[in-house]
Amino acid sequence: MPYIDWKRLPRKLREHMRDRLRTREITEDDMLKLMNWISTNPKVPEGAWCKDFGTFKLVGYGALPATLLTDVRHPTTPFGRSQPIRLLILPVKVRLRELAVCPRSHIRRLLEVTWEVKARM
Amino acid sequence: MLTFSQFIEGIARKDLTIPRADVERMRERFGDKVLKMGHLQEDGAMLVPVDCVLEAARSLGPQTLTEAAEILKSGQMASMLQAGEALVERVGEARERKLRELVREFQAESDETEAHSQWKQIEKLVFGVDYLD
Repeated sequence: MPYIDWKRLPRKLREHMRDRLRTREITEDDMLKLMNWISTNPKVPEGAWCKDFGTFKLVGYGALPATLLTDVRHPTTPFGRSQPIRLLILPVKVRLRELAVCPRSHIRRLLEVTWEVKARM
Repeated sequence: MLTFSQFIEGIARKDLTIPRADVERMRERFGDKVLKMGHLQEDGAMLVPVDCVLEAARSLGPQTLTEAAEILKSGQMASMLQAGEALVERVGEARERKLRELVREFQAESDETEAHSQWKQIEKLVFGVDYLD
């Protein structure tokens, strides 16, 4: 399992985080959670992963942190039930380009696929 | 004995480096709270913000600080363990306090240039990286 390479944190992701923190959409407490999590030098799965910090979620692919979600609080499953994203358990393989910074439609599609696959398991 | 110039050189740096062996020894002794002191590097060493170490040191009395230094060197006495642990905890707390203060200043800052500079400090503290942009 790889360690996250924070040196490769995309500039757009950092700018997104900066803007959300400035407008208080991301809270001080959640930034603290992020700092303390990074300090533990966490290992992540080879594939897609997602870590929930409350007011935002960090999504990555292996060692690469890819995007930041601040408005997808509870993705809807194919059954219409609202469920929180789990930590580091996205069980499907996705292409790296699907996790490139932003296009939220890709991220939503990824999460829906994930839950659908999980429901079949 | 540390000379005056060595001391100044030390505190002028942004981060102190704790070698891997020391980090491992401290983790064995104090647990994962050691990780809250700073950022682990690829080689297992840890970078700890100097200002947080200074704040933690100031918050402990001289006696406790001397005991803490002994513990961090090689002390094994159970009665002294508390002092070393206190220093480790205080550094972690100082780092958290620093982040909170930076975030509050950043959110309250009206000048965009100043806010950008504060954000760069937040980035460094949270991610442990100086992003060149």
